[in-house]
Amino acid sequence: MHVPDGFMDSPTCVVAGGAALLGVAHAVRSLQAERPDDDRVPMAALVATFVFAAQMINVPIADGTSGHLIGGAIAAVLVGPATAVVCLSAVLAVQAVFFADGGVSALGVNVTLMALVGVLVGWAVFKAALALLPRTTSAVPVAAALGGLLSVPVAAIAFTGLFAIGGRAHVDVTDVLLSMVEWHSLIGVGEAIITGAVVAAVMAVRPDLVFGARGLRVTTGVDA
Amino acid sequence: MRSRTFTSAAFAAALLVAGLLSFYASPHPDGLMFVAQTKGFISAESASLTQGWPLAGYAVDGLGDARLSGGLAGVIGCVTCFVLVSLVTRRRG
Repeated sequence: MHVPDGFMDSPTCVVAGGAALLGVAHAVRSLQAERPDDDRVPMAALVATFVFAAQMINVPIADGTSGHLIGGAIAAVLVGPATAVVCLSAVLAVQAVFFADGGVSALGVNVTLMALVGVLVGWAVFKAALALLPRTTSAVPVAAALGGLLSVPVAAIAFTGLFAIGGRAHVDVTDVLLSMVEWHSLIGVGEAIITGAVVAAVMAVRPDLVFGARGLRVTTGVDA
Repeated sequence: MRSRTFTSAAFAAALLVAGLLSFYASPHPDGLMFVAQTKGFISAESASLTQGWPLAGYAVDGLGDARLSGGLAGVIGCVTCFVLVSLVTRRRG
């Protein structure tokens, strides 16, 4: 969902850039609270590296469309929401600057959509699902997958909202909204599958490293 | 699993995905770019400021072989993300 330069007008890019800066600054200040007791595993750096790698893999969907992981829910569940915002923002900055993937003037837009909206929706849905599911660690990958599932279409709605305000094209916004939600609901299914699988894999080998599983009764994994 | 084993395995998995698997990624436009094409706002796109830079488009300038060029770009991206986030999240004080 990397927004290129040119889609949004300058005021929208500036306002989104301001929101992104505030969000990332707040996240950086909150890093300490999410830091694990055992930091022999550089989880935040590993999560950012994995998200960067996974975003290179576009999976074909239908009709000549493809989608790739955003990673907001995976990151939030593995390292905590504030750390996840920092991870995703770093990945988006590296992509825009080094790989011309996502616009440079649109970096604030992309951070807002994927790092802020993607992470916060992923985390909120994860916490809500966890509250409804049994309070055991086996619920963690399921709740994470649900977070991934919903975070993508909500980010697509957020894109359309920004586009309605500051899009540099005269198109029917309702039409764009329906199309964005349709495709990104499908991409969300892929996001859910990858999110569930990755979180389940980490839960199986090192449940102690999963931020979202702190304080839950361990029902999976062996050598925590 | 030991911490060092976990770290190595996770980093190696990312390198494998970015360095090798990425060659097989779908070349089709992603959801947003597809909607931009079908709904008629793709023409609003302008070239990125960094479009001419040596790694733009996940390809290393001067490397003709697509597999090598894309793979190396992926590995450089992985290492950059790892180092950047390590620096930002390092323990202070």
